Amino acid sequence: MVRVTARSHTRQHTTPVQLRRLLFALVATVVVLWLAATAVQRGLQATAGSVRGSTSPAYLDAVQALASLSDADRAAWQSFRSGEALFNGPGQQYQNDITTAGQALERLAALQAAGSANSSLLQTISGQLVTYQSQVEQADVTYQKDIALGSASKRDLGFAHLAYASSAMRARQGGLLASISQLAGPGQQALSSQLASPWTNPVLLMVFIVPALFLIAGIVFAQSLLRRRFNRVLSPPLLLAAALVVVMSAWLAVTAVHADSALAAARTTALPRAAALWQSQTSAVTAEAAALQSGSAGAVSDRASGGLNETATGQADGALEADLASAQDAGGLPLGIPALAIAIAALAGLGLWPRLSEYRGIGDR
Amino acid sequence: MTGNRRVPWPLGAVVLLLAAFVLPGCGGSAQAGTTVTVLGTWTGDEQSGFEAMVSGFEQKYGIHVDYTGTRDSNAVLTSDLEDGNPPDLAVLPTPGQLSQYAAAGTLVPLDGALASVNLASQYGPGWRRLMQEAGPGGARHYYAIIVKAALKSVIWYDPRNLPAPDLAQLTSPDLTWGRLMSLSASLAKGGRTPWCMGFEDSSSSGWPGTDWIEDILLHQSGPGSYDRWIAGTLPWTSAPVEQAWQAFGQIANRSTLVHGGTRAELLTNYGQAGQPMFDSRPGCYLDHEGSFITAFYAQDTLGSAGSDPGAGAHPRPGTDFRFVPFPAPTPAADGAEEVAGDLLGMFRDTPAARKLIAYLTTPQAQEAWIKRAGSGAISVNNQVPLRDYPDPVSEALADNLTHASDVEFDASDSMPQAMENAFYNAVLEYLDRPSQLNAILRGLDQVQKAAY
Repeated sequence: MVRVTARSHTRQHTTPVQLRRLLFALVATVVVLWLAATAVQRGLQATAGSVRGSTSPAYLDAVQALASLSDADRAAWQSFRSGEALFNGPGQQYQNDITTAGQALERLAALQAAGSANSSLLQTISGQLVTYQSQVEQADVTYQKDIALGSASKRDLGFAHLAYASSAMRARQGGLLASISQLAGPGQQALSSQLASPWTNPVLLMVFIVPALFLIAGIVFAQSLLRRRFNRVLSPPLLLAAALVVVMSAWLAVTAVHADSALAAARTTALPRAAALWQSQTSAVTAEAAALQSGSAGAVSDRASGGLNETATGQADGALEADLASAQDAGGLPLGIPALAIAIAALAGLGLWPRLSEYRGIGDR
Repeated sequence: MTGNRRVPWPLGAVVLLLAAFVLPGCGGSAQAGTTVTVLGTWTGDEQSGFEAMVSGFEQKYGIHVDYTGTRDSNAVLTSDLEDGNPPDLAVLPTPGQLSQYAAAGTLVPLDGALASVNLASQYGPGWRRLMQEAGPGGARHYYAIIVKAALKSVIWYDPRNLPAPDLAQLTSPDLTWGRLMSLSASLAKGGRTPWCMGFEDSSSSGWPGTDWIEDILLHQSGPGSYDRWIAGTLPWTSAPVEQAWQAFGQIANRSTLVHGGTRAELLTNYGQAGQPMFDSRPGCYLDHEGSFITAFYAQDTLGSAGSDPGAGAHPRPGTDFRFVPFPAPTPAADGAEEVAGDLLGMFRDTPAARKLIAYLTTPQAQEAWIKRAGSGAISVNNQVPLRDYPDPVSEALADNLTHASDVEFDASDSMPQAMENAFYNAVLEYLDRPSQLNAILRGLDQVQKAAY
């Protein structure tokens, strides 16, 4: 009798303890799932956000400055060779290009950490740009003086000063464009590298799939316990909790795969296309400037040159930006994850708490 | 009991997961090493030379040297100073700027950094004088060190191409300015263009012409006139200066004497001007350039215009190019040499910057650069053994530099910046419009009055 009573007491003691432990385990697993899902979601967002907020703009600003300054050199030669310089100096297009390049460099400077190597390089570039502009101004002054002195047919010194300005810009070692290339080249590498961040690897989906599977297994075990001990064939709250785990996992997986796909598109398509377009346009205007400088037949024309095709580069930059924006778009996931996690934990509690209540008042403590 | 105390697995997972996120952020970051920032004009091979020079320093002290090289270091330095963010050390483009920065108190005196260095035993008095300037209080202090130097009073030639009688005349100890002009005329008469010239150097174009005028003035009128001219007390319209310009014009403004004519000399880069000297059919035979030009010659090619057996090879010092001193009016005239040097000053007084300054004055630091073949670098530290130079031409240049009885720093570099820039542009104006010399010199007089 004593033995039977003791066994009965043990059983009464074991079931509520087991229920409490199970409830605690389920809630703890929900917390783990919450943390894991949040980590994956934030990791993806951080990657996309960092690329979109700094690395991509820094690279695009560098290549835009490179192209605009190359075109400024072309435009200045065009103006001098065509005779427009008599009235407009290096010309309106030159001014526009210098303004565009200056704005791009200002934005680039704002993205750099104070005291960084790039910040120091940008100061160098700023000084070089001032030198280049002063050389073009000197060329303009000399050109006007040539004409004022009646030696307009010669104009050797005005052109010589413009050649010095071009040399200061194009010198392979220490030239203005070479300095900006020191930003653009590594910028492209950094961008490509960030787009291939491990956060975009689908294998990392396992970080939240594993706790999700554990949670579902826990819910199944709880349902099994309720069926064995309390003859509850099906607990609606636990069933709903399991369904929400599946919904949460699927939502996160779809978002992660979508972001990964967008970043991959940026890395493999949009970035190479934008880089190639900027490169080809820069090369084209540089070649045209060289031809104008040398006075090659056909290069000296009074027609307005096409210069940079800003529509094409704008579209290429826009495609890259669209991919990055798509990767960064998490929909309602940042709110959905905690909401679902709280709902799952509450439903787990709702499924087990009534059974725990049955033991109250019968000395289960 | 034991089972009750065991940590539930979900809690363990939470802890592990948190640890995975938190620990990487808490990882011990590498201790930031001390860095010295240096701004200079050296790029390309010169930059490699400087980096070789400081690599021993970095290894010895574990201090990183962060070097930025640009041809426009002057503009960059000005911008950095305006922003209140200058580099620790900077190569000063000219002694004129050294003087201005020292007087303004922008530069830090190097007396402390050089306290442990016995400069008197390593540098001649003329060189030590060039390292000193008057500070804000008027007292003279060391404000710069000379990292490397160049001898400017030299004329280069290719001994293989110059006709034997002309070669004998050029290399004669009795060479004078008059005989050099006769030699030029003789070569031109024989259908040979005597002089290689190029005045293009991007934003500093025109300076090779100033070197010509300075050398002529120094050797024809002497160091006294030269120093007064630098100090702004000898007008540009004075006879010594005007005669120097005219003597320069006797060569530079005559298309028969200059390779490519006057238009070409305006557009030819100074570093490439000597290439025609090495062609199988030489485009020119004489080149007035500082000793640093050997670094450019080392990049030129031999016989590029013909079928020379050595075509394509780079000119070799001693064999393919040699130099003679710039001639005075008489063989017995003064032995002053025009020189230039890269002056390194300190804008931020840090222990690491002091260490680097002291290190760069040592023979072992200077040897690292001068030993590099084709570098054209010359040390003025007289404890650097001449045998360390990679070729006999560099050795002879170093011998001349360290043992010169009188060294005079490049005049344009020593003038105020406004005067220097005007000088550069005036040379270009003169090449374009030789008939305007008087107007040009009057204009320079106006600048002189305003700049000093």
